[in-house]
Amino acid sequence: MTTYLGFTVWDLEPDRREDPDSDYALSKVRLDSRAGLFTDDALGPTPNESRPVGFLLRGRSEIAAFQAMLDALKGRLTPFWLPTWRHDFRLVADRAPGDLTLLVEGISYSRFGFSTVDYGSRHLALLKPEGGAIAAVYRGVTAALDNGDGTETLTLSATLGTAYPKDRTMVSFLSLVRLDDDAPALRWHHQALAEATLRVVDLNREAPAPA
Amino acid sequence: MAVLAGLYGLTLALGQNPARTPNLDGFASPAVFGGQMPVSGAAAAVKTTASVSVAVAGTAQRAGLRTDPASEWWFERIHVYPRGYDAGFVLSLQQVPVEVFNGFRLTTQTLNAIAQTGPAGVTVADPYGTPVAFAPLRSRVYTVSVLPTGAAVVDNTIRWDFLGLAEPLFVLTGSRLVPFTFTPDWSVPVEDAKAWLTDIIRASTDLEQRIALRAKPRRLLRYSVLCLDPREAAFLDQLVWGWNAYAFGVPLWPHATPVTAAVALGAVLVPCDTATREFAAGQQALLIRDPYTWEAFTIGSVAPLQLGVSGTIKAAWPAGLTLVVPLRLGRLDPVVRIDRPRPDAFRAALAFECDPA
Repeated sequence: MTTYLGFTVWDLEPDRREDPDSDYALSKVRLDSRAGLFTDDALGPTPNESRPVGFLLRGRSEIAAFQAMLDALKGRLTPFWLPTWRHDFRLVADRAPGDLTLLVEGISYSRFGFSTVDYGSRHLALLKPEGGAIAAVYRGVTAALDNGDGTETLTLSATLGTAYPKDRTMVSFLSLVRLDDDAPALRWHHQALAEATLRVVDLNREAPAPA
Repeated sequence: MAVLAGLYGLTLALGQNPARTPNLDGFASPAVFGGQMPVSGAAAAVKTTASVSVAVAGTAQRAGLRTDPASEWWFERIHVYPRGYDAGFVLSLQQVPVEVFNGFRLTTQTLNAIAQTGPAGVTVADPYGTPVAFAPLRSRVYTVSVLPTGAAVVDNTIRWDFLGLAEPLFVLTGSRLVPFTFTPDWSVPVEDAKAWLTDIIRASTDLEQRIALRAKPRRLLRYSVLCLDPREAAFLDQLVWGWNAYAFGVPLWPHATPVTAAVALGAVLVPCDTATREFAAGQQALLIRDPYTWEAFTIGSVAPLQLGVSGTIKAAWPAGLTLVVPLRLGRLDPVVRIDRPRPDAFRAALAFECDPA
């Protein structure tokens, strides 16, 4: 297992057999006399996303490694990094190993997502297929700029170290999460095939600053 | 050359040690003894009774105390060793040797009977019969057996009843387990979870503190069983009905594996592939051919291609027909919903919660 900024990264590619859903939960207090105007007072700065992640485990070695990871997490106790495994950003241009920035299609990240209050949305996973596996690097976003031409420039905490072609790269948020269940179950179809669906919840307030 | 100061060794020869008096008769009794005459030679030989009266060559007797504390504990009594045995979770026959020792140094004692109290399921093998004489300082070994069948709780005492003596009891404790030997219906996935427990204290600002409440997780197993054979269905019905209040030995079926060679009677090794399977030293495992034919044993050691047995295997198990599967102590859900596709068939989804292991 890889570690990033002191936490383990769960880099096993999920199974997408079922449509994922997710909840955004923000702590709010509603001030409402029920007679007219009302307002919400948000207590947390950003919502924590809760979502299921499914895994299909082929072979006893893969099942044992998965179980070992679950054992290390100890239910809801331990935070870990998990890529969203979504195309949260799309590269506009290929990136070279020495690049410190990403040029991406604009999604108003610099306005909404680039939080300066917590760092939950300030970490990225760059994923590309390579040699039958997934090659990944994890970087923080130290600055975001809307270029005004439908693109945004994200400045990374360190250079990429390897080339990332725009048509083979998935840029996903890397979320600090914990399990949302103390008893995650494996469903064994037979002795060498199992699946599991884990529900995870973001820990935006605990995510470390990009470094 | 350096000169080192030293001492001559003193021999025990009387007279060469200036600290010793050559004749006890010459010993002047200090005031604490009341200025009486010295102890006579005959009196000095008395040494074993509990309250020693020392005759002195005068007019008075003096009470004394025994000076050897070991003899108080070892002699003039009956010993049973060990004094107790915790059988733990009884799945198969357990035997423990118990030594009974006559600690009387001069007296033969007679064992009248071996008395047992407690629920059924415990026997004492008595190859010597009763009554039987135990010569001074003589011991005999008896074998106490905890049978796999019997009451749910092992809470027995055994007393070797010697005539006119108060003997220590031998105390047996434990829990009798019944293994749940029905394999899952694999048309429905077997759910297997380790259940941790975390207390989460959440602030209104979404910050949280997490506290682990369990050092080891419990094990949750949920699976379906389907019995279409009338005898098996009836047996399963009895098992669920009659033993739901007690603990089961729950096999971890996803970790079952065939034995790779026949296991002989008295074997101390079970050859099987243990890689990625949850066998652990000190835990129980089950050799099983069908719901009626099984043997539980305690795992002594785990190697990649074999399990070491703590004790010996009590039956012969052929290769090709026999599975070995890790076992956990579990309890069945209080409510079991049974579906009967035929009057003599049995299908149920069972949920076991197992102790941390």
